[in-house]
Amino acid sequence: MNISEERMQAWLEKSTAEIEENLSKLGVTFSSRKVRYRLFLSGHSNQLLTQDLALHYLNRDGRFPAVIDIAPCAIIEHELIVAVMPSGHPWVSEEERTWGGHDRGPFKVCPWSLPGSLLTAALPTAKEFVENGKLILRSIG
Amino acid sequence: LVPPVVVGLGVAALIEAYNHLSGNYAEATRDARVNQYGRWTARGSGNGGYWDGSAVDNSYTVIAPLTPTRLPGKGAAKCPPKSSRLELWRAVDDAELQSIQSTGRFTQAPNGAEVKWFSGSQAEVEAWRKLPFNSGTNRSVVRASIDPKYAHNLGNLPGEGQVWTVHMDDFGHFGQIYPHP
Repeated sequence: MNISEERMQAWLEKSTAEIEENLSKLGVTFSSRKVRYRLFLSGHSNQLLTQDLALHYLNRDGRFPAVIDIAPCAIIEHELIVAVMPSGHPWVSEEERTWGGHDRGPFKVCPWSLPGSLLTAALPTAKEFVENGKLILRSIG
Repeated sequence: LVPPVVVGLGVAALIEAYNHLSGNYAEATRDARVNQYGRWTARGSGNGGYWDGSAVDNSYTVIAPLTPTRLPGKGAAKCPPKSSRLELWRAVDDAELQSIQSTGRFTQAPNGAEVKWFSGSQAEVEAWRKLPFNSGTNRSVVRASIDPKYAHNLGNLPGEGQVWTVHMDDFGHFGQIYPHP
């Protein structure tokens, strides 16, 4: 079955919800439900994107990355920042050829994405996500 | 995941480093293991007291002195700070291996991807290489070290272990890239 933009949106929302659930297990919760995405694709990582814009960049004439790692990476002003990292695998147009198939599509949820220099314990806390938010703001200006 | 002989060598190097740095004598009281950051860790005891440490990488090279947790006397004062380098492993296809051999560095991944993925240890990169998604592709293992501030940890993934990414803008911060047989 060909991948549609609606299917990509549903998979991304499902993955984001899973990320928020994983974070709550770490004791990291949010006062707002606002999420922005940092897309590591073709130079877009120097911006924080809305969901619609991230999905727009992930669509190349009906072809999509086969594998996309997705992970919480920062907290900036009470907003969750999610890293979206497409792999170098060839892009595909069929659901069956994505990493997670019909159920999950290309999105592979990872526990977190944090610089090694910030990790001081086995599990990160909200502090590390806030600190990384400062680093991100500094790097993207 | 880790052959016993490798663990034994890891402990031996760890203790040797400890004794050299501290001037104490110590012996291991339990086997070394790979921690969540892909580093060897071990615990031992000797005339300096008990210690925990992360001192050797997976090729048994001393990369960081021990960080004693309870070490009275001369040992603690003589231990310099932990190494700032992180050893990462990557399984590369033939084209990437050729690129590394000709340029001496990692180059941007295809299809606009800005990051490349790495494993935290040899055992973990071997596990990743055997995943069904990679079947049909011949991959070689390489390793290189980098300052941890340029490497992003993705946590522990099922079947893959500790996974790291490095952004293409930071590939130049890797040290020499070594092929691994």
